[in-house]
Amino acid sequence: MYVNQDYRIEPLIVGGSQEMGLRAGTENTALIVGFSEALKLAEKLRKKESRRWKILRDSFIKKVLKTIPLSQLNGHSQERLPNNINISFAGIEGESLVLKLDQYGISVSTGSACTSTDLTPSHVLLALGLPENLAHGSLRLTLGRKTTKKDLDYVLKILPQVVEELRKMSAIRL
Amino acid sequence: MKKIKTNWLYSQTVKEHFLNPKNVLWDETNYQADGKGTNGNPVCGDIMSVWIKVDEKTQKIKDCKWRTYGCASAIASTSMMSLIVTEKGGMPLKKALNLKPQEILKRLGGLPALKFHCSVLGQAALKEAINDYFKKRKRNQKTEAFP
Repeated sequence: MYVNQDYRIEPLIVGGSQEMGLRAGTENTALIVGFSEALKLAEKLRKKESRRWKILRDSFIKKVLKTIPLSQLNGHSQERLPNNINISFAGIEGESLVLKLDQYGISVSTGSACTSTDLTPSHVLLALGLPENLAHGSLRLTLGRKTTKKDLDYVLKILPQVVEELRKMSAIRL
Repeated sequence: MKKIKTNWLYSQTVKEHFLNPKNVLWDETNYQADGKGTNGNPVCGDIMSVWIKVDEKTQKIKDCKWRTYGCASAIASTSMMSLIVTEKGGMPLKKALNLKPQEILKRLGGLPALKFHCSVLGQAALKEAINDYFKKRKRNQKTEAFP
């Protein structure tokens, strides 16, 4: 941020003259050291976790596309975040898929942002050239530090059943 | 199955109808419908198809089946609608033509404000199914009169 020296901006915290009078109070030294230590740990884990996620991600995507007909990966297969999976299923709507999976303890998200204030499908997926039907039927899974292969195998067992059930219930026949 | 406690935005009734929908027409191969109607739009993410059977004599709805592409509230509202028009010996067609979305909403225990339009669609698809039935009947009467 640039502040013209002719201007005086209001301090964030009023009191002492620390930080050129912009933020009063003594720095929390212990917190700074702690934060720096946390960053070191995260950086050490970053590469290792990224590699682990990538393997889990790619194997999961491959299996889903193989077992569930009329499913497609959104975005590039490699040029994507190591922990991001985004797949569209024709003929079903994302919100119902998310809520069904929730019943099995699987926490995922959809591109259709159905419970937010916008009911239209993801503008990113539309910009990627997806038809509305597929943009509405998108599922986003993100892997975390605690996600294991066992978790993903569980999703691989449940997901095809749920997709099939919703497709059988759908007014769109594929 | 893991039991996980989650907070639902929807009413308990909506949840029940979404998880255990009533009167879904899983397979229409052997279903002899008297009328069929579809309404909705893939752009907004909701499409409903409704099939009805009508009692010729009483002009009441004997059976109402459906399939819905859409979110949980769309599925639940079509399910609830199918119950409303078939309970108490079936709803007379004339009354069913004027079925108000508010009536479905009330029975569902309400919906989030944004989702109101979802329940309107099931009723619109039903209307189309009834009109389809009237059209078919007219055609049949004509063929009977002029064989």
